[in-house]
Formats: sequence, C-alpha cells, structure tokens
Amino acid sequence: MAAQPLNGQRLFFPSSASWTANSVSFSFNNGGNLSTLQFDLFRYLHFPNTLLNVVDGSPITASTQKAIVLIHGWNPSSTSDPYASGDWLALKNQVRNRLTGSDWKLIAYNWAPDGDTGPNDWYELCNIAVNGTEAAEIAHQQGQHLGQLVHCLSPSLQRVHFIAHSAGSWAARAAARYLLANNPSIVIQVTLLDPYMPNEVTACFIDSALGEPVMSQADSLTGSSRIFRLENYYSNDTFVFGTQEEFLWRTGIDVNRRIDWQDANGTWHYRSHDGPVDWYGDTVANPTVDPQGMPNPAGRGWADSMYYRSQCTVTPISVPTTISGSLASTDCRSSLRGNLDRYADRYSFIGTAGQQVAIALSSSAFDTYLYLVPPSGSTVGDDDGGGGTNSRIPAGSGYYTLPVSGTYIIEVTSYSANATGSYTLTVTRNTTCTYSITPTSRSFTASAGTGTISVTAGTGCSWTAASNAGWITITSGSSGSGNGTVYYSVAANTSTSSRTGTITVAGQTHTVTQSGSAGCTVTAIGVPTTVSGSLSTTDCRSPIRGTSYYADRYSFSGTAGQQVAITLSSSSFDTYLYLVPPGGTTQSNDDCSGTNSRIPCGTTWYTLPVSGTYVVEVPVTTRTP
Amino acid sequence: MRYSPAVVSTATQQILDNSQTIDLDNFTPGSYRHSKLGVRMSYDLVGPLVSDTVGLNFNSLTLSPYNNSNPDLFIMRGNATSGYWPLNL
Repeated sequence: MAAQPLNGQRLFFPSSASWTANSVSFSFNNGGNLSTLQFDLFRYLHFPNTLLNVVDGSPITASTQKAIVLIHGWNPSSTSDPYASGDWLALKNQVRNRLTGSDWKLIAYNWAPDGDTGPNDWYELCNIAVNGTEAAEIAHQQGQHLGQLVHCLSPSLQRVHFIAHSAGSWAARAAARYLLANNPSIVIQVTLLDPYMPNEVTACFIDSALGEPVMSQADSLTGSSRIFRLENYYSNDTFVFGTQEEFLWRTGIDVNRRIDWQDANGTWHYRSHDGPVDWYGDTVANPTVDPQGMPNPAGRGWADSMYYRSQCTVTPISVPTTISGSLASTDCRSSLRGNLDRYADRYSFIGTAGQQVAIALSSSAFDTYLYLVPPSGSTVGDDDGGGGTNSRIPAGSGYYTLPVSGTYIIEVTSYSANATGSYTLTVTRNTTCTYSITPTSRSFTASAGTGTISVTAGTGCSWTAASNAGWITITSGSSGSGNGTVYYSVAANTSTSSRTGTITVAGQTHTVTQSGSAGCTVTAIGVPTTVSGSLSTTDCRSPIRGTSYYADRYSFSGTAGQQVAITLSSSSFDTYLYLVPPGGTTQSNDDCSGTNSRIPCGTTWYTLPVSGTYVVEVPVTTRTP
Repeated sequence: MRYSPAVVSTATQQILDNSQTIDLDNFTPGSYRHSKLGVRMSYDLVGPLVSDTVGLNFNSLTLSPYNNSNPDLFIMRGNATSGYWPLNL
C-alpha cells in the first residue's frame, strides 16, 4: 500500500495478507503517522439483475405497468428459495391465481443468499437479535438495489405493491422510497407482515437505526402522496421481539393491525412470526371473509390491495335509465382518476356504432367526475360539463355518438379524493330519427332489370320499403334498422308506352321510369292453336331479351287457374320463349328439347296465376347484329 | 441467478447504471455501514498507539477462495465517526 487511499475508496489486500476460512490479517505501516486509521471489511451483496413474472415465467420489461413484489425476510441457516414451501408458497400461489389473466405481474424477490445471516437459535437470544439485525441491514441495501432494478427494467411502471415479511420489510421500504423519488407517476402500496424492528432490541449491543421511528417516516418520503396505503399486519408472537410495533402513519389511510386472535375454545390463530404471512394468504384466497372473524376491521388484507380495489364490479344497465346510487368507502377505487384515491361505481350498456347517448351525473354530496370507456379507443371524461360541479357527456347539451359497437363502461367517481355520498346517473338516447335514400330515382329500358336503394338512418331507427307498382318487386331489404340497402327488380315492359312507378322507402320516394317496347306488334291468338311464323330482319326488337334480338309477339286471354303449355320449335334458329303474365313474374325457356323451347319445360302444364291478357314473345337466342 | 457487481481488474462494474446508486436515506445508520455494494463484516483500528496489524473477520456466507483473489470481499479505509460509506468507485 504505497499510496494512501481516501476514505471510502476501495483498497486491495496486500500480498502478505494471511487468510483463513473466516478471517484475513495483514500488517500496515502507518509511516509514523500518529493518527489512528480504521479498516473496514465488506462483503459484496448478491444482487439479482433480472426479475421474472411468477405467473408465466416471462421477464419483467419496460412494458410492465403493474406489479406485486413479494419480499421474504431473514432466511436463517438456509439459502434455499423461501417461496418454495410453507406460508410463502401458499401466499405466492394465491396471489398468482388472482393475477393470472390480468395485466399485473408477480415478482418473488429472492435475496436468500444474503438473507442467511446465521442461525435462529432460540437458546441464544443474542444470536437471533444479531443475525436478524444483520438480515435487516442487508435487506435495506437489497431494497435500494431492488428499487433501482425495477426502475431500470420498467421505467414507466404505474403500480407496484410490495408485500414483505420481517427483515424484508426494510427492502420494501427502501425500494418504495427509491421508486417514489425516481418515477414521478408510480403509485405504491407497502404491506408489511410482522416487520422486524432491530432497534427495539435493547440487549445484545444492537446498534441499528432500523426501527419504528424510521419506518414511521415512510408516510413522509418524497412522493408520499403517491402511496396508496401503508399496512402493518403483525402478530403478538411471544418469542420474537421487535415485531410487535405500530407505526405513526397517516390516520384513516394507513393501517396497523394485530391479526392473531383467540377463538372461543381458547385456540390462538396466526400467533407466530409467520402468522401474518399465513393470514394474508387466507385473505387473498377469500377477500370477502375476514379470517379473524371480525366484520369490517381496519385493514382487510387483500381486500384493501391496489389490485383488488381497482377491480370494480360492473353493473349492466339498459338505456335509457336513471340510477340513484352512492359512493361509499367500501366501493372499489377508480383506476382512471387519481392515485387510486377516488371511489367508483361502474355500469355497462351495449351500444352500437352511430347510436347517440347523453350521460349526466349529479350529486349534492360531492363534486362528480364521469367517464365513458368504449370497447376500443379513447376514454371520454368530464368534470363539470353538467353545470356547477356536476358532470355530463357530452358537456353542456346534445348527444355523444358512439364510435364503435360493443360494451361501454360508465364510471361514476369524484373530483376529489375519498369523496362519498349519493348521486343520480341518467343515461338517455337520441330517439329522433332522420332518414335519407340514394338515389331518389332511376330509369330502365324496356328490358327487365334490377336496382338498389341505399338507406341512411340513425342506429335504432327502423324503416320499411314497399313497391307501389305491380311491375316493381322488392327482392330483399323490405325492412331494416339503421343504415341498409333495398334491392328490387323491374319486369320487362311489353307495352309500347313507357311507364313510371315508385318505391316508398323510410317515408322517402324512389321513382322508377321504364321505356316502352316500341315497334312490336302483338297478334291475338286463340287457345289452343298452332302458329307457323318466321323471324326476319323486319321484325321488332325484343323488349325482354334485348334490342339485339328480333321477336314476334302473340297474346291470348287467360283465366287464373287455367293450365296451358306453349311449345316453340324451329329448324332455322335456336329458339327462346317468353310468357309475360298481366302481373307477376315473366316465365322463360331456352332449350327444353334440343334447341327448342317449352313453357313449362317437360310434359307438365303451366297454371296461369291471374286472369288477363298474356303475351307470348318469340325471340331468337342467337344475338343478331 | 446472476450477481452484481462484478470485480473486473481493479474496478467494479454493475450492470445497473452506477449513477443511480445514490443512497437517498439520510438517517444515522448506527453501527451498520451502508455501502451500496456490500455489507460491512468487521473493522479494525491501526496506528502507532494501537497496533500495526489489521485483523478482519468474515462469515460463512463468504465464498471461497480465501485469498487475495477472493471476488466477494473488499476493504475500505474510513474513520470511526463516518456513518455512511459512499463507495467512491
């Protein structure tokens, strides 16, 4: 050691150092300096550099937003995994079951290699005090590292809940302190289970600063306004001293609670140093029943955890509705507003895209705050849009148009923290319907054709479509709700005159104009009869098959129910045959026998549907120039 | 499990950013020195009026080898009144 290092600088052992399995010694020439020097020997702590999610084994990363961190305590005489057995295993599994499927991660912080500070020797109480205190001091340093590690891995962490036992409480405190100071948006809960306070031990020359005064200051750490709750659940276990302390934390928010209790048979429950771990695990397993058997005690374990309190029960409602409700201290906490310090009620309704709603929230007991959470997309919030301190979505008047279809959540909460009282929630829907159609008219040639009409209407607004002409048939979309389409067909116009008909859709009129089949002479015939004719270039063009085809036309009088058969044959061209009734659907046939035609095809009869004049049209099937 | 810090040559390295290893606590730590990297095992005084031999003890958690190349141990020079040890590396 030629150079004199400054205080606090790391030195190296001189080459002449003498080593045993538990000591090292060396000579140091002070160079005649009359001052006394102090040499301190440190052992590096074993800090983990990764953290895994117990739920699925995945690593904690920057995408982690919410986490529960378990921290074991003094691990006397063993470096084995403290979470692998006993009460810690039960608690870990219970929490894991709760978090499975949620966006919360579960971390079991293992500092056992440094937590094994020495035996838990009941016959040498100073061993307990000294070794336990060393574990607490190491936990304090491990907690500093844990805070750094969590912050490095997840710098945008929003929620973290430390659950620590005994000496591990100091790791929880230090980690919480670091995160509060370095993550400006994090909200923290700290649950201590039989925390160990070394400086409460007055014997055995214990000189540790870690004790009730320091832990009591946890509620005034930098960023302490973002501490959701500090909890101290302890047991009056008679063999472990320094673990029956209560801390001077925030009144009405934080909790000191002794959880061991004696039943009517005189049997004690949870009365051991591990008792609070066992007790907390039981509250996770059944948050609605206090295992101590006391109704609504201050501090209910898991029922007061950030995770549980942010899991709001959602009550389905139908729209329109008016609800008289109240915010109470037993309600869940709003995860949308504040640091989980506002109570909330939640309701859901099924909405469809385009539907228009108005949501009003009023209260004379508290300043209201209102949220609407859509199935996807951005949450809508309002403070005073309802006038005064009341809320409304949208603010002022009018309606909010639902952007997508699905389940919508309404959250009733307060502007200020911890507000309670009655409120009235009113949800209404815009029932005024407006309709429009496109197009409002369409023209057809004399040939048969099809058309569509687009209907625009508000969600929930119903409509119908009806034809006002026998030659216009609605083929689909005769009724609907909201936006829709009407499909219709137009029969061929066998008349030489044009015609106009209408379709009424949602109270709107769609006009159909069809031109006449100019040039076709209709020859009246009797039935039965056989006609020998011919198609020529001087014939008219088919109004049904199209203007590229020549046609001859015949008419006969028929009576509804009468049965007829019409055959058409030619050795000169491929025939095509139409039968146009006075109303209804035109019948046609191309090739019933070879290239010849028959209505109906085969050997049966066609029954005339109505009485009146029927037109038989004989076009060629081959397109003519 | 991986450990940090690691001793590399004559310096220590942490995977975490060293700039963040500032202890935010300001309470008096009592007899326990709070190094950010380790835990104090023992201390000894040396000087002309006492001794020129330094004797230091460590516990069973210390990993072997028990010689100068032991990566688990390090020493610092301080004084008896300093309560907090900012490891200046």
